[in-house]
Amino acid sequence: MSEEGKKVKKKKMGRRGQTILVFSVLMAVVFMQTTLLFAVSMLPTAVSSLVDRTGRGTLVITVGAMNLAGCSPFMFNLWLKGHTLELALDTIADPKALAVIYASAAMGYLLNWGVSGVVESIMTRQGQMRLKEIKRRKKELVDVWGEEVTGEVRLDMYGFAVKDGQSE
Amino acid sequence: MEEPGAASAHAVSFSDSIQIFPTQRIERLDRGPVQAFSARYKGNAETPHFALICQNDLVPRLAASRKFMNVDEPSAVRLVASGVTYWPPAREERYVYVYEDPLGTPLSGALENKGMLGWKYDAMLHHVIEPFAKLLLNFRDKDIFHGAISPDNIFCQDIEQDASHVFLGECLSTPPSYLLPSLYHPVERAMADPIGRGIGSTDDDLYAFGVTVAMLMRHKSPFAKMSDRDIIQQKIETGSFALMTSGERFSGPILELLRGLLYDSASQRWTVEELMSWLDGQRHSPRQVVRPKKAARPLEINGHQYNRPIYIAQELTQSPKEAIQLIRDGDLKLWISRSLEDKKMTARFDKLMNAPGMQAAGSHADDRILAVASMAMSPESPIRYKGHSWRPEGIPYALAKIIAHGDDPHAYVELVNADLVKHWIDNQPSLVGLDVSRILAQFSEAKKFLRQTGLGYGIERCLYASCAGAPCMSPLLRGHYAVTAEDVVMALENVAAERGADKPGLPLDRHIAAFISVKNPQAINSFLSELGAKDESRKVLGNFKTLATIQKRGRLPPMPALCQWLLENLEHVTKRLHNKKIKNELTKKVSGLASKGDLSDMVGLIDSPEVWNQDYNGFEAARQEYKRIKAEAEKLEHDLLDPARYSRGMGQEVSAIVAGVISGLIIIAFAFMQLLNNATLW
Repeated sequence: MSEEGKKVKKKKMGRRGQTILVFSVLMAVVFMQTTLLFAVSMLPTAVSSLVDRTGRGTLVITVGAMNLAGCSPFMFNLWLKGHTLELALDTIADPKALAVIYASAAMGYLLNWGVSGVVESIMTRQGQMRLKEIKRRKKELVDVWGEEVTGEVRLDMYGFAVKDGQSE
Repeated sequence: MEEPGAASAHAVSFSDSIQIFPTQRIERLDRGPVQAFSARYKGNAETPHFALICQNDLVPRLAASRKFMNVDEPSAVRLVASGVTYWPPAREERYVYVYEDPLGTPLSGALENKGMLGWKYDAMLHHVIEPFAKLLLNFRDKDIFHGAISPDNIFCQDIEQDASHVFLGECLSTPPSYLLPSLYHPVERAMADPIGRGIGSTDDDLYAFGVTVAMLMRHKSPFAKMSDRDIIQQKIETGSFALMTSGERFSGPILELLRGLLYDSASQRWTVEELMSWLDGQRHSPRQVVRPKKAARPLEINGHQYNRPIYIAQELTQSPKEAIQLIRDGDLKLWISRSLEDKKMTARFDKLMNAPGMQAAGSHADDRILAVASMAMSPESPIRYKGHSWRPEGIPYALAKIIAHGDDPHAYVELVNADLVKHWIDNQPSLVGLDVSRILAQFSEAKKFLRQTGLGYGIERCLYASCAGAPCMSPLLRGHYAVTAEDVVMALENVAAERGADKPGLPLDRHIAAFISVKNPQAINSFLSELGAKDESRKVLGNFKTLATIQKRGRLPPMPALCQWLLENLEHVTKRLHNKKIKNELTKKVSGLASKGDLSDMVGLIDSPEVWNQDYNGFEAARQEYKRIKAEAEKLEHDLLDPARYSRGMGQEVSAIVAGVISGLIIIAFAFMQLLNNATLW
């Protein structure tokens, strides 16, 4: 490790963070049934966070939202039918339930891919139209104000193109 | 001679009341190159009149004309009118003087016919001396220098029988003293070129009157066969009085009069009061005459020997090679100090030779040294430079002639730059009769004008600033005679109408700009920088503004042709507008105004700050906008090279939002369904 690396201190968790962590662990232990079901159901979201390269977490949000939507009926079922560990384990062991949950997460991936494509198509079209509009406006400006408006020709003190041999 | 009525069809109308008849020449009234023609004045049809048609290269005396109009003496020819008219025989405009015809022949005619007149004392006294003395008094009171008193210009109706009606002729149609022969001038004026004599004083008129009296009373004249140089030499050697009375017997009173009028020194010469007192019978004792100094040993120049400095002063510039050698070798100075023994002249010579810039090298150094050497030898003689011999007051008239003839004016330029006039004045023994401050101011100003080369300055400005009567001598106005700025603009309107495509780009040339800057400085001075600019658009604007100002201030009539001429140059101005729409609109509006002939209206549109500001601000805004959209386009083009990357962020954000919304809806729906099921069970 370099000298600089040694100097970089590992960032310590703050007091608030520590409080939240302790509280979360406590809650996870207290609501262990929900925690168990949630942990297994949201595995695709966890995977998406590993493969998300956007840097803004939009893939995680998309997949996570859909994943959560797929998991929500089973979660409600657990909460309304006694919130037992047995029911939680039964749900996790139920292939149908897992299929529904993971399919909804897959819908998230699909949505991410599909909407991005549509948006790309719309934005490309818009960009091209804007380019066309700029080209037209530039021509219009040159027509009205002359080549001098482009800033690409040398100008004299009155703002007119300097001809060859003419001094500014 | 043809009757005026017969030729009325060919008459030239000069004002509403005067007609001039170009076919009826009156040679006896010609004034040198200035020809006389019969004229009719409607206000006084019984009295014959004549018109003198001035030459355009000889500037008439306009300032003196106004004074002369007020002279109401029976012995002076009466000036009826003067001004500019189109003169068909010359096919150009000329300045014209209209006088009452004295109905007589000049006495010079009788002198030629009879040899001499030999008038008796009584006739001379009553018909010439008494009336002319009153006339000279009147001239003196009105500050008029006549400068043309000689038998050539004195008229008598019937010299054989009744010489009672004697008239003095005019003096205005040529530069001062231009036509007066050398005999009638004091030595210092006689040595000047006729064109360069300039305005003199009443002393000079009295001298000419004295010579005239002597000439009219003499029985024989030796002068007809003498050259001007011989006459001047005789005057120097013997004195004017002795010369004019030599070989004749004059009565005592006349001799006294002639002695008084013919003193060579102006300070000794009789004044008008002394002349009047002589007429009243008062006798004047003769004054001691100081003869010019003569050297013990002569100086030889170019094979001739001279013993008076006044001759050497003349010879120096006539034999420049030999003269400059004499000066450089110190022989001339030696001659002044040893042979002439004149300490004043030696000091003057040294002072002038060592004046600032006098010994500076250059192509004109010799001419300059010769001029000041001549000045040192004879300070009262005219300024002699490069073959010219001018008195300061005559230089403007000489310059006018040089420019009118298209001759080289370098002699004038060098004379002004070398301060020769100032040196001349500094060395005058007497400044009586010279308006020193005016002359010095005039030449100091001329030096400044010559330093500036822009439009409105230069030698043209010198001409018009110094010679008030000079018409505008622009080649463009050939055929026109413009004496005011308004005349110039009217003449330009004619030029524009007559010459069509054969005219220069812009109306205001060097002559016209200089002329207007003298005659109407308010109309042009603030635009001189524009007129002299290299940029064509500024020049055109300067032309527009100057001419519009004169038209407006002079309340001149519409000038459609001149407007059209300027309109042809409008493109130079409008090309300075960036916005093509504004440009086209302005051109359209101004073109519409041109036919009305009002230059001010056109200038109002062309020079409107609103239009120029709108254009300038619009251009700046357009440049900014162009820069902005250009940068935007470049970014877009770059982004569109990889559309996926360009839209990725946005697409994922949208999909996240969509997923969030869908997810929310599903969760809410399931939550409701679960709640409903449970409620049913309970």
